[in-house]
Amino acid sequence: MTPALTVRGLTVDYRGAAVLDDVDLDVAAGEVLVVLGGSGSGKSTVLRAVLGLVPAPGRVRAARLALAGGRGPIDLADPRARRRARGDRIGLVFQDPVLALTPLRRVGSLVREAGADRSGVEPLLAASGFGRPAAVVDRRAFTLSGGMAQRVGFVLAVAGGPDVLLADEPTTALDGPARVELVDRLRERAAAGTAVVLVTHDVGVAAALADRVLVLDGGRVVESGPTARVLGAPAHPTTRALVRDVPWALPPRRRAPAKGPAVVRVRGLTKAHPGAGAVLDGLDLDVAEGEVVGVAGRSGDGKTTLLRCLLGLERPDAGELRLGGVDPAAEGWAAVRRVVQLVPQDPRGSLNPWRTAAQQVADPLDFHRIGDRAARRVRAMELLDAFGLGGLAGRRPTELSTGQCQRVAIARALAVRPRVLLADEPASALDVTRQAELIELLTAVVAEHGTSALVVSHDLHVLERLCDRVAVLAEGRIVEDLPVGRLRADAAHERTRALLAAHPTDPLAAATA
Amino acid sequence: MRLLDSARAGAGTRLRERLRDRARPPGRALVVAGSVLLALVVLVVLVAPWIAPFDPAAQRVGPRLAPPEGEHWSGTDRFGRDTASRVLHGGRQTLLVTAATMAAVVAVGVVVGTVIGLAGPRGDDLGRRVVDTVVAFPAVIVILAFVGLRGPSLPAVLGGALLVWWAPFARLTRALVRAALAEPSAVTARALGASRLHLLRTEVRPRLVGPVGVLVAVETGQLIATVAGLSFLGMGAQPPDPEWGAMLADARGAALSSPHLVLGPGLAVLVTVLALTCVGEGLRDLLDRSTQVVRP
Repeated sequence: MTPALTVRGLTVDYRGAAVLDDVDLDVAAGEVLVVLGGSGSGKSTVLRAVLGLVPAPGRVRAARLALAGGRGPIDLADPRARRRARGDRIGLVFQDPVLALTPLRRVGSLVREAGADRSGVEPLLAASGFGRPAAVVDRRAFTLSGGMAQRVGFVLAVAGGPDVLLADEPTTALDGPARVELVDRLRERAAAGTAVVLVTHDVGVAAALADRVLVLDGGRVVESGPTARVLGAPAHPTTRALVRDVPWALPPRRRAPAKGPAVVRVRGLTKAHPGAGAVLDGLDLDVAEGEVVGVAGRSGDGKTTLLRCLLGLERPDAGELRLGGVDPAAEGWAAVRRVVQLVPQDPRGSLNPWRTAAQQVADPLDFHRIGDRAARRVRAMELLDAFGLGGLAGRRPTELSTGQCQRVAIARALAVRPRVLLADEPASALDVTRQAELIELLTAVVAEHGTSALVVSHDLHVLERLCDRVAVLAEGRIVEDLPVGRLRADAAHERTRALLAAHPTDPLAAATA
Repeated sequence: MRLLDSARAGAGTRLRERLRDRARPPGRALVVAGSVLLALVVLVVLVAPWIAPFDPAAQRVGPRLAPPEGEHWSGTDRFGRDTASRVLHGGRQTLLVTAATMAAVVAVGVVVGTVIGLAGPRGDDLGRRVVDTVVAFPAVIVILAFVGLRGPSLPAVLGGALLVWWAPFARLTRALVRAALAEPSAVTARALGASRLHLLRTEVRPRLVGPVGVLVAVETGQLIATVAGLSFLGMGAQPPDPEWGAMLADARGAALSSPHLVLGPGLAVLVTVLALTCVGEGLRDLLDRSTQVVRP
């Protein structure tokens, strides 16, 4: 079979620092190639180089960079030919669909611009999962929900009938069921004869979709071959780490459910957003002393709103809160924050870029006037030492790796010895190796300090490893609340079943069997 | 890694990075050229008393309306005063007073903007309207009205400028404060218990410095041009004080026969405003992520 996209000897460097080093890659029509790699492996740069979107001062060299197909061959090294090919012969699915759409434009106009003729718009939208496409055509992009934007982004990528479809981490920002949907769409395109190149760090997606897998590390291809071989019997240490560190391969949490008094008590929590209606609708939730509770749910189901209400960043419309034994309505949020601390979603983004690790770990002590300046500094150094960051106290976030930032963020949350930790999608911004570290770290922290924790996430695999109990949030309420051990067996609500279906016990099993 | 990258690193870090960038990003040359030019103007004006060949106010130090030659290398005006000395001393007055006015205006603007930025939705709405109204008011008209009340003088012009010139700074500051407080790091700090003061100090201030600096450079140039313009119309500096705009006004009658009288102060205003504009525009390009080059 002749390859639809051929790349030979692709090398990209930024002022001499190589990001990609002599990468070869072929995809045939109808084939799905998944490029796997951790952060910094250069996997996104592959796509940028193919599209000619490597930012200055990056330098791209390749022995061959060519497109073949029914409409004739195109040399992608030629800027003019490449410009014509973009969007028409090559489609791109972006990581963040909301950012990729021009907010004020209407969906129909965007799709027509991407190559569909007037009559083709609605069938395309229908084919990508919109039940009533006519209702979507005239909506402006900024009014779409994340899930809808993802579908529209996919339509834009395929509207021109491309020979090659590129996808840059398209599933990272999606919850489980949305990810399953996108994987189905991509599989349909491949079946229709499009060559698909998907870049991801998610081994689960690779297993579900790939015909062949190519593993990148440090800008070099370290392993490539059929999916079953590469993921089933990985030869290179990088691949082995990717397969080993997936959350579903980590040991499950086994612990007797805690039966202490409730440290988090939420009753009848209600919150409506203007224009969006009720986001939380009389939600009840308890977390017992020393217990770790996960709140799962799809995007847009109110997980973030719940957390923001519990952090005092949003004022609920109704309901009672009692957090760490403190009633925020009566005693104020400062008193709550003295005993309830946050483990943020994006460890790097949550740290102040101008301040050192030691300063930031000492910050909460400063906020709550605990100890004097010297004592705060000592406590910060102790915590940094305990998290293996002893020598890095004077570094700023830009001088730390993501994994180190994550440990700083957790150390900071522990500084005041909180009774409750609230964690907001703690693993979603991390690659699998970091995720595994985070799960281990949080588990150890909770056990060691006897803190309770409420973890909000759409990733059931992570929650299963981290929590004693999982509550499923849907339509503003908790619809399912089960100990982790009984979750897969006893789940009754359809939402829970949908989430479980998107997070099978072993996503690799299908590909490697 | 993402194709669409989010803007996060602070302006200061980014500026240092891009000034050092050997690939010469857009704006770098402008900033360097403008800064050098500006430094030169300030230096020359500061050492005016030592390098000026004559007393700027002394009449008949030479023949009247002498063309540029010999001892009076840039000529003399109709009172026989040395033009070069007057340009040098005039700049002293102009730059010093403008700098003081700018300092006051920036202080007021940043404080007002911060207060509005921290206010709730209603306070924000009200504050924004007030600021927008002031921004919409033509500065020259307000200054003229003020001068009408206080009588023409340089302090009156700058006093009038003080009334309106803070508004663009307040507007910019308000927007920056809001944006900074929405950054994940600021939200996290708040959730951990940070006070407003802490947030202003650690999250807002570093994100404020760059953009406000750009605006200072651009607005200073505008202020100097406005002051010179109003002095030219007789509203600002009064004779015999040397001031660039007033000197231009003074030269009006003799401009055709003695063009050197226009040339000196005119060039001085031009070079100063140009330098400040270069610095301002260049800084903006350097700090603006959207000007980063992507190959077609």
